[in-house]
Amino acid sequence: MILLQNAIFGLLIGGLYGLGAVGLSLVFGVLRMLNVSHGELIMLGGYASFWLFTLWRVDPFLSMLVAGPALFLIGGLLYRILFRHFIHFPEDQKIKNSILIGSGLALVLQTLAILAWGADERAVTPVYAGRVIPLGPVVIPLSRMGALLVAFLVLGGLHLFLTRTRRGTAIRATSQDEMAAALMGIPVNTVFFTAFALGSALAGVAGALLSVSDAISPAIGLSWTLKALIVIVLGGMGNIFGTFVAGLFLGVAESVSGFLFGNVYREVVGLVVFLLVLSLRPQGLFARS
Amino acid sequence: MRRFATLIVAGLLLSTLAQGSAGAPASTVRVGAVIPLTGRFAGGGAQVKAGYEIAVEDINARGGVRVGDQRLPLELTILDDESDPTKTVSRLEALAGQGVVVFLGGFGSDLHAAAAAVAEKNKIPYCGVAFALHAIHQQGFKYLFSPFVKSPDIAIGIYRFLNASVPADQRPRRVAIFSERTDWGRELQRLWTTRSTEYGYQVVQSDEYTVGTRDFSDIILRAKAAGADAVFSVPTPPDGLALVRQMKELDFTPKVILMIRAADAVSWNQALGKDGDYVLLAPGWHHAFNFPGVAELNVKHQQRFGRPADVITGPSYACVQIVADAVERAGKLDPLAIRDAMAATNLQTVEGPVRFRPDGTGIVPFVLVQWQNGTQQLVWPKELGAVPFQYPARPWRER
Repeated sequence: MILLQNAIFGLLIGGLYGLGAVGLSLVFGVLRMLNVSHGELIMLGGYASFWLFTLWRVDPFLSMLVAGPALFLIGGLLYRILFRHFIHFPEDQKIKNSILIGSGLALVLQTLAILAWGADERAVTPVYAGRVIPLGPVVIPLSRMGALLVAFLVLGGLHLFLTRTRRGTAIRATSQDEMAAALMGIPVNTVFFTAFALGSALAGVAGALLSVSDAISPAIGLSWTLKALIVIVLGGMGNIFGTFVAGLFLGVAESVSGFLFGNVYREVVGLVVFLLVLSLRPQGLFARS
Repeated sequence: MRRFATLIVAGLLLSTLAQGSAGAPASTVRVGAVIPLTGRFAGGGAQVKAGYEIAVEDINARGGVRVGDQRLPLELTILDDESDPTKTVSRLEALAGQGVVVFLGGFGSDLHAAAAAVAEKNKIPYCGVAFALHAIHQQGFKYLFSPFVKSPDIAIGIYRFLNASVPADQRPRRVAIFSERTDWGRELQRLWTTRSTEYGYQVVQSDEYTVGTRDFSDIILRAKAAGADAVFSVPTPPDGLALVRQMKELDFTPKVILMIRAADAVSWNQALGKDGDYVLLAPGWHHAFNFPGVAELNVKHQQRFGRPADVITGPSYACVQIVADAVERAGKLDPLAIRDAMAATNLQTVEGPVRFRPDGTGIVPFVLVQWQNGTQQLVWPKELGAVPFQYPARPWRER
C-alpha cells in the first residue's frame, strides 16, 4: 500500500518536473540556448501566484492565467536585452554564452526577489489544500491532482499550437533547420523571440502550479533548473513530449526508490538514471534516434 | 619601463599607507559577521542580522564600548555566505584579513561548523547562535562560544517538558523521528533514541531523509503504520512546510509535532494557516521573556518590522552584548585577551544570565514555543511566563 501511495505521489511530483522542464526544452530545441535562469522564472511564477492569493485570494489555478502572460512578457524582454545578441553565433558558442548570461541573470533575479519580497519561504494554502480523493487504500491529493491535469492541458495546448498553427509550424521548422526556414521566408528572429517568451510563460505556469504543493522562496530556482536539466536529458534535448514523460518517469522512479532503498536514496537513484541514460542513450529515452 | 617603475612606486606608497594604518590606534571595535542572507537559511539569517544590528545601534547609542581609558564604537561588517559553507569560510577569511577582532556567526549548524574552524585557525573569538549541533563543541575549539541550547539539552528537554505538561495516562509515548541526513539531524536522532526509555518513551520509527526532499510519503506512512503519536524533527523551512502538507494529505495527525528550525520563521503561519498550529519549536528565546532589555528590544523591533523581536533575534542580540562585555573586560583589542574574557563571561543578557562551559556552550534555558492560533507562544519553561501547552494537536480535518 505504501509503495502504491509512493508511486502516486511520485507521479504528481513528476508532472511538475515535466512541466517545469518543458519550457527549458522548448528554448533549447529552437534557440539552441541553455537558459539556466529558467528556475528563477519558475520562482517568479510562484511569487505571482502567492501575491495574487495573499492580496486578493485569487485561486492558484486562476493565477496561472496571469503568471503565464506576465512571464511571457518578462521572457520576451529578457530575450531582447540579453540573449538575442548572440542568437546567430555557432551552436557551441551560443550554449556557452547562454549559460554564462543565464547564471548571472539567475543571481540578479534571486537578489531582486529577496529585496522585493524577503527571503522567507512562502506557500499558497487555499481552502481545499490537504483535501484528498480516496481511491481504495490510497489517496490522491486534490490540489496536486489538479496541477497534474492542468499540466496535461497545457502540454496538449502547446502541442496543438506547435502543430496546428502557422506560428507553431514556423517554430518547428526553425528548430529543425534555421537556414532553410529563413530561406523559406520564415521570420526566424520573431520565431526565436516567440519561443523564448513561450518557454518563459511555461515556467510561469509551472511556478503558479507548484505554489500549491511546494514552498516558494527566492532560492528555489537552482534546484528547479537542475531538475529540469536532468529531465530534458532523460527525455531528449528539445523533445517536448519526451521531456514531459521523462518528468513523470523521474518522479515515479524517485518515489519508488525512496520506498525500496530509503528516502535518502531518492535523489541518488534519479541521478544514477540520469547518468545511465547519458552514457547508454545520450539522445534521450524518448528520442527516435 | 616607465610603467613598471610607476607600479613599483605605487606599491611602495600603498605598503607605507597600510603600515601606517596598522600602527595607528584603533578608532572602532571591528566586528565581522557572516550570515546567510540568501539561500535556504535566509529567513533565519534575517533574524540574526536584525539582532546584531539593533544591539550594535543600542551599544553605540550609549557611547560604545570602553576599551582601556577610551570609549570606542562597535563597527559591524556583515557579509552574506548565501547559505553555503564554502562561502562562509571564504567570507570569514576575508574579514580576518580586514582586522576584525571578533567574529559573529550566522544561522544553521553546517554553516557554524565550517565557521568555527576558521575562527580557530585565525585565533579570533567567535560567538554564534542558531545552531544546536553539539559535535562542533567536542573538537577542542578554544575560540568558539555559543549562548544557545545544544542537542543534549534539547533531547532531554522535550521529554521533561512532556512529562511535566501532560498527564501520565495521556502522554504521547510512541515517538517517530524524521531525521534529516545531516550531522545535526543524526546527532538528535541518536540522542532522542538513547534518552527515550529513561523518560518513558519509545521510538517506534526512525527514518532519514535528505534536505530538499519533495516526497515524504514513505516515512510519513511508516510512522502512521507504527502508531506514532509524536513526531520529532529538525527540518529546513521548505522541508517542514512539505512535511506538514503531506502529513495532512495522508491524514496523519500525531498528538505532538516538534519541528525545530522550520517553524522558527514568522512566515510559517502565513504559509500554512491553521495547519501550522500546534507545532512546537525550540528556538532558545521568546519575546515574552522578562529579562532586562527585552522590552526595549521588542519596541525597537516593533518599530522596524511591525512585530516584537523574533525568536532568533534575541539570542543574536545577546551575542553582541557578550562580545561588548568581553571587550570591556579585556581592556584591549587583542583577540586572545577578548577570547579569555568571553570564556569568563557571567553576564545578564536579553536571554537571561549567560555563562560558558569549558567547551564554549552557553548555560542557557531550554525553551519551547508553540504555534497557537497563528502566533508563537512560549510554553516552556513555566517560570519564564509560559502559557498552557495546547495538547493534543487537533486533527487536520477539524481545524
